[in-house]
Amino acid sequence: MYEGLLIGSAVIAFALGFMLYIIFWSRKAIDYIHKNDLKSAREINKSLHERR
Amino acid sequence: MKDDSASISAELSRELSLFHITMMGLGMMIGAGVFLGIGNVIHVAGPGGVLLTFTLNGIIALFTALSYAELSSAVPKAGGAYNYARLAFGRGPSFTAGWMEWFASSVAGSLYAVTFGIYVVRYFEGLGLTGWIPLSTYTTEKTVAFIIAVFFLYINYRGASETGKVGAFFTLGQTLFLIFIGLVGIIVVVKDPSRIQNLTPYLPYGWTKLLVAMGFTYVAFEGYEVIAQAGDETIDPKRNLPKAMLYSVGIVTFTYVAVAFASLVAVKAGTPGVEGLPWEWIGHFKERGFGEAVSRLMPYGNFFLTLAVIFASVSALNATIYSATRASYALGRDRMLPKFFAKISSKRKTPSVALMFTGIIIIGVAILLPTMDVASSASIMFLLLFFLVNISVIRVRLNMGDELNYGFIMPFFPWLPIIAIVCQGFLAVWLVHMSKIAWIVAPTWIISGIAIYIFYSKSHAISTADEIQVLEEEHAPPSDQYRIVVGVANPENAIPMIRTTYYLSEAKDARVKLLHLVPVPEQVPLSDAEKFMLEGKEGVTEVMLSLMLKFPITTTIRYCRNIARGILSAVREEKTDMLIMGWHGRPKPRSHAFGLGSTVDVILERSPSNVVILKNCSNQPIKKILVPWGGGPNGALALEVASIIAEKDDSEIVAFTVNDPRHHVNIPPVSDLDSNQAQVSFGRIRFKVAQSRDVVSTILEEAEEHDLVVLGSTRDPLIRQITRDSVANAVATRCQKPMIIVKASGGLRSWIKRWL
Repeated sequence: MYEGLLIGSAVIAFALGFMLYIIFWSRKAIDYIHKNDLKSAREINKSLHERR
Repeated sequence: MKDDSASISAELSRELSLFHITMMGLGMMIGAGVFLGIGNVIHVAGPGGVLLTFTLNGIIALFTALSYAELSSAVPKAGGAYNYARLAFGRGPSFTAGWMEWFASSVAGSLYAVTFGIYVVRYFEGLGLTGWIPLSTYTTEKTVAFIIAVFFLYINYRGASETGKVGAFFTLGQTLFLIFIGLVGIIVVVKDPSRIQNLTPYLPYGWTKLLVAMGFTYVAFEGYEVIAQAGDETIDPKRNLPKAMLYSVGIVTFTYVAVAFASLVAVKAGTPGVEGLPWEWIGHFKERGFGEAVSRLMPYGNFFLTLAVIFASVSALNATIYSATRASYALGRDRMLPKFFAKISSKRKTPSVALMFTGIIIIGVAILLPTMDVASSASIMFLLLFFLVNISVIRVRLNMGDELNYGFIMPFFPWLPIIAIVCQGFLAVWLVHMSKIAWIVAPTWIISGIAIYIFYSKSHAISTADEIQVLEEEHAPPSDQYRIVVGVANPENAIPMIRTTYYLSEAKDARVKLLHLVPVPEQVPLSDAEKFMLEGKEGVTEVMLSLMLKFPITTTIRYCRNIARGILSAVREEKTDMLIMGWHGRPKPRSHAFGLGSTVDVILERSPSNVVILKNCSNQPIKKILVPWGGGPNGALALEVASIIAEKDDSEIVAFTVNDPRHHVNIPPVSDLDSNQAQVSFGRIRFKVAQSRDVVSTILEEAEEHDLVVLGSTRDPLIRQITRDSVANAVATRCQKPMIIVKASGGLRSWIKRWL
């Protein structure tokens, strides 16, 4: 009876967690791009990759 | 005499902060979807369905928000999807985007007016104050919707549009109220854990009903369009627009899930008046279900909810009227629609005609269609609009990623927009199960838009500075011949290309088109582009004089803002089989993101045709050709090009392989090449193998003994090219001998590139 509830809750928890991760990653990326005055997509990709 | 007025430009003052535009987005989203949606979704998909609907829709909306965030950070101007589609695909899709945006926002406005009507009538019914009205509840709701729509149309005509700053505080209030409802729901469950049973059975009607529910509530996630529209008025837009879009989607998703949860646990099974399971009881009220649930959740819940709905729906209605009017005004301004759409009222200084037509749509849809068909129509149109934006973000990144100044780029590109495209397409199609009327209304609107574009807009639209324009062009008669495009920059660049072009054209029995691009800086208006043409014209003439006696040659001269994009668009339009161009051989500094330069790199990566790039080449006969051999389609094309030259100059080809003892790489033998596919002169090829730890230096040393190096470009994925130099790039930049760099087109990859 509670199987659907458990699976559904796990899906929701994972989805909301993923959403938070993307939002916080994006926030950090935006600040990093502006701090380093990066311009083109290639330049940003390269710099973000090197930072990792 | 210089016209001083030409130098005066007007712009809006930038006063909207991150907080204001986030609240604008929230205000547009928390309008109706959640108030009308919760009861209906519970009815259609059950208790788990409502939680999953808002969660999964939030994820799809987040992916689309990432696309909007990336595009708005690169093009932080008002216009939204209309601007992005124009940048990505040109006028036709751009008109369709603007046309859809107009309708989607208008229908969303209808939905907010209807929501207002439903909740106001419900509240007064609850107080027993509607008995004297000689109309049915449905007709009364529609009448109230009509009155509020007319009222806000008039407000917009008066020009007293709600500003972002004032609206932000109303939105904050209603969002906090919804969060409060969510918290009360959690407290209720903590006090009475048995209420968690209200969530079972979790998905009583299965997953298919969940998809239907997701489709018609998607309208509750469309706020980032209005944030994009505020680009001209936002402080630090490259930073704040993307943040606001992502924050607003995050906040509404968590709020919706919390509120849906609170609604489900608000009702205790078995209490007086509640028949059947609690979720069935809430669901049978459909769009009124949320109100009924909240009224049992807390004291004065009914009153506070009605207040929240009134604030939410009027602020969203006002925002959508503003947004829809602006979309149709922009179409009129660019002459995609008749000029009168851009007419500004001399008395009120508002776009009165665009507002009038927007009002007709809002009122017509609100009155004529049942509520769920209104919601479904708005959802379908937004799904299709966002579908277009997600395609646009991929195309813009691939075609213009090196020339735009981005303030943000999304992670996992291009997978997130692709997932969003698939999901949105699926949800839009699935909505046919919810509303057949919506699937008649939406395609009818789009098809009528396409007809208007073909018969009116195409011939009346005003050109914009972003478009690549053909200045002069000679058209060749259509044929199935092999097509070669030769990029010519100036006489110095053109003359060394004559000999190779002649050899390749003859071997392929090709039709040759000479292409000259006129790069015009952003600051120079289109009308002055012809001043930049003279030098290129001389180059084109030089090559023509040398080749025209032997081949049918046509020429084209184009204006563009960026050379690489100009060449790629010409290659795609001409369905070119081979592109030949020269390279000065000066790479960018090591710290730069480009390996061979911003034009050559981009063309090698993205051209759907075979590419032949000539460096330091002359018209002298060649005796010894070196082909560094590593297998693969680019290596095969290098051998083919070398063979064509060798046959003409009677030269020898050395296929040179360097084995690095540290890394065992299985290099296929040249004899594996299919002689039907590649015109390789096997009899002229001599094989040479060397062992070395320094592959690049060994190739460069070997090159010194040859007259020409023909090098296959790297096929490394872009990310590896960025992180470390490939052998091919290193040889190409350091080799001082005459060199030809080639890259082969290939199958599906090439087809996708041609389309993108």
